[in-house]
Amino acid sequence: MSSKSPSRGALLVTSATSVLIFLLIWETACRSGLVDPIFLPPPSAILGKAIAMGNEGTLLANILASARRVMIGFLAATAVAIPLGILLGTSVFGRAAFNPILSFLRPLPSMSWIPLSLLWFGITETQKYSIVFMGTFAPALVYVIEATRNIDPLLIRAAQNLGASRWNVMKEVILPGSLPQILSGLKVILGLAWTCVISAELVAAREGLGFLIMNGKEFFQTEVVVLGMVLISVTVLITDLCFRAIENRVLRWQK
Amino acid sequence: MTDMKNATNGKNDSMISIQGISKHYGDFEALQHVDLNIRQGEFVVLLGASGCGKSTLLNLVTGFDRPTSGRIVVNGREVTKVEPQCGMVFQQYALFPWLNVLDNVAFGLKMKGISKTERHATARRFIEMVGLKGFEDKYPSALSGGMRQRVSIARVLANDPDVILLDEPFAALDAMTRQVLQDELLQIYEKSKKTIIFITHSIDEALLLSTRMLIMSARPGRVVTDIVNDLPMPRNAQVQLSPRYNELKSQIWDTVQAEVMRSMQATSH
Amino acid sequence: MDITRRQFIGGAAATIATMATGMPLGAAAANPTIKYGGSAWLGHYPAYLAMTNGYLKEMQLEQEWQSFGTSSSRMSAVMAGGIDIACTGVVSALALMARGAKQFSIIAIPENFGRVEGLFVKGGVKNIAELKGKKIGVTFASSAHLLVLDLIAKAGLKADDITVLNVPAPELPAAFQAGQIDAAAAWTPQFDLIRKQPGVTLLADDTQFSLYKSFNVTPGPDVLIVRKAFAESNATAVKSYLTAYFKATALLRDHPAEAAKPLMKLTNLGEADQVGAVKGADWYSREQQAGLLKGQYVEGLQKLAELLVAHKQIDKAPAVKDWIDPSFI
Repeated sequence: MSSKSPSRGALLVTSATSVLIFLLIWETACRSGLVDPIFLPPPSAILGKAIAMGNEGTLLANILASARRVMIGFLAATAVAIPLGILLGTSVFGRAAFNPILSFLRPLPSMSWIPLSLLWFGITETQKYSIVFMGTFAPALVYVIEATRNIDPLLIRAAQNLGASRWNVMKEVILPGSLPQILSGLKVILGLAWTCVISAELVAAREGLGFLIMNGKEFFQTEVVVLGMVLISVTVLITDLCFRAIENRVLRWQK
Repeated sequence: MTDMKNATNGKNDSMISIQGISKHYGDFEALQHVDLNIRQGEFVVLLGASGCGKSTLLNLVTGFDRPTSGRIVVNGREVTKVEPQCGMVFQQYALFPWLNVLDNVAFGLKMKGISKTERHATARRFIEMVGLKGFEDKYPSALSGGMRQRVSIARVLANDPDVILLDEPFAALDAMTRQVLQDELLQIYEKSKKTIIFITHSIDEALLLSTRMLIMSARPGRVVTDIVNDLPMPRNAQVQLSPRYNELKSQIWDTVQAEVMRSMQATSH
Repeated sequence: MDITRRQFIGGAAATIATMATGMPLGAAAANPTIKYGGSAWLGHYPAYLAMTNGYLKEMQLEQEWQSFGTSSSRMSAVMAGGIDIACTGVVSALALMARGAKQFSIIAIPENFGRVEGLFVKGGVKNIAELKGKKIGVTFASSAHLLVLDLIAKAGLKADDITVLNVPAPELPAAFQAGQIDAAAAWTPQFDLIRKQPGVTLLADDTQFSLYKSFNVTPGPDVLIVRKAFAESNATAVKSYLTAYFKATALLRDHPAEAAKPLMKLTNLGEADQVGAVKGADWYSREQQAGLLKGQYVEGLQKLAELLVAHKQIDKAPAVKDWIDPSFI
């Protein structure tokens, strides 16, 4: 009996079929009256809404609005967290100095920053970016510090032995060496950034997926709510794939 | 057989001067009062059982560690920090996995601020010297252990250090690769005339490579025997089968044996 | 948008017991507890007063007060069975009715509040056209929101000419004062807070709403609703509730100063402001309900539903009268 491991095609078909079956059950449950559409709309209603919004042009506008806020906040947080994290990862005193602040910031959910951010930035897009930033900065920093400290100390020694200054060690060894771990941590942080955007869009937003969900809820348009959720999932999936592509390019050297 | 007569000669052309070095880790005496002079162009092999301080001594010479007492002077400059004048080849290769062979070998030159074209050209020469021409674009993960060690050697050589230190560089390789690399190392030594300190467990390796052998003992770590290796170069099969070879070997063997027994007794509780 | 309503619900507490959290089943006819969904909005004044002034106790009823920040959250609680009676802005109810939700009925209209909701501006702005290109802050999916949309439409402007931002009610005063928005549309108590800010004028209030003149309907009138499942098993209790409820509206109408005192605890307004808020609404009596629940007012609500559709707030207009249940009056 030959033990053949299943082909990729077979696995793909299995996944697709299970999704289809799930959607069918869902659709029938709603149509048969088993589930009140106010509480859970059928997939057909959600698709219908998506098409309607697509024709209006609002679908893409909402996705892009949220995506923009996520990206800017996330990139800002990363831009600060990576260099700062590498610095702190290499300095015992730096860590001792920064740890109290970090421990204070880390557990704060992004929503708790809304009142302060409104005072500081008013009802602007900057206020939204700041929510995403505050929600992702501390965890990103922790990831970078961890990744930095996980570098094989032998590599640092080798670099020093080859004449690298403290600055060069950070730039030429620690940065590229910790990149794999940083990038995998950033994937998680990106997902986190999306949850921040939702809470950011609770106040003073006119478009965006979080706004879509909140507004749909106000008018009991549950299919809009679910559509918003689906769109968030899909968008995160797509950004994840892009991330992977970047990872593969940058981390070519890993087998 | 504690013979220091050759060691204390010629303080003037000394490349490495180890003066009264001791290293303690708490109660543990890794090195106790080591006094040593290594002249330019010597191929010194440190021989001894595990834990006798060989690696510790090397780390002190490179500046990775500070001695508890005493000082080390390399090429007229006291060792106070890590400097490229003592290039180290590690047992685990320590190649930068995100750089290809060419960039790895050129690393030290980049640190010196040398331009890209120039350092790449220099690196290529050394890559060819260790027999890896054509592999410049490969990443370390694609190379075998022996090839990685060659890159490591090329990397150190390209930096043109005064001293090359090797900490059991071939221990992780299979016998055939080891033999090839030993040959290559000897060729490089003969061509470049660098001062080399080499650590090994193997008496045969010591006899094959060295011009001088220092046998070390543990607890406390110190140099027990200092022997000149007067076997002629090149150390071909004929030399390796000669009576003088066996003579030296038996001379060392007993000392090494005794030290190994002593350290085994000390560790077996 | 919340409207405080009181409905007297007599009868068995058994239904409440099964829905409530840990209510003993044995608490039968004596003092059934009604779960009321309220807030600091004036529509809830009658329900609050009926509780604090003992009118409910006189009818052998107890009331458990639960606060909700938005109409939609209150209505969600009703749908889920956690709230029995509530005053709500009709917009939320209409949204649910448009979806065919049958879990509740409209049983009374507590008041008409044309003058405690409006659009404020600064710097001597005289009409809404001057706000072109500026920012108006309002809580979305509320009566104030519809007022803003209506005012913009009436001025002949397009939706995009003015930036309308979603600002939760409690944030409006601060945002307006800090200049983050150029105009703010709010209802009491934020209405009173904003009015006090320096340099602020009231550009328009609900009396300028397009449906107000013909139907006396504000952009988000309050209706008192009851959860159908609760009403079916506690019909007498509901009737008794309404008795106490309208005793409170009578107090609010005839003796506003006296009514204001206990209300200050609910709203945290100063005494003068509280009296002003009470006086800002026309409190209906029980006798007026019959006329309201059957006649022109309902037609006005229907027109309101159609207006919401026109402004794309809801998908379709439900037949409002299908949800009206005058049997408890």
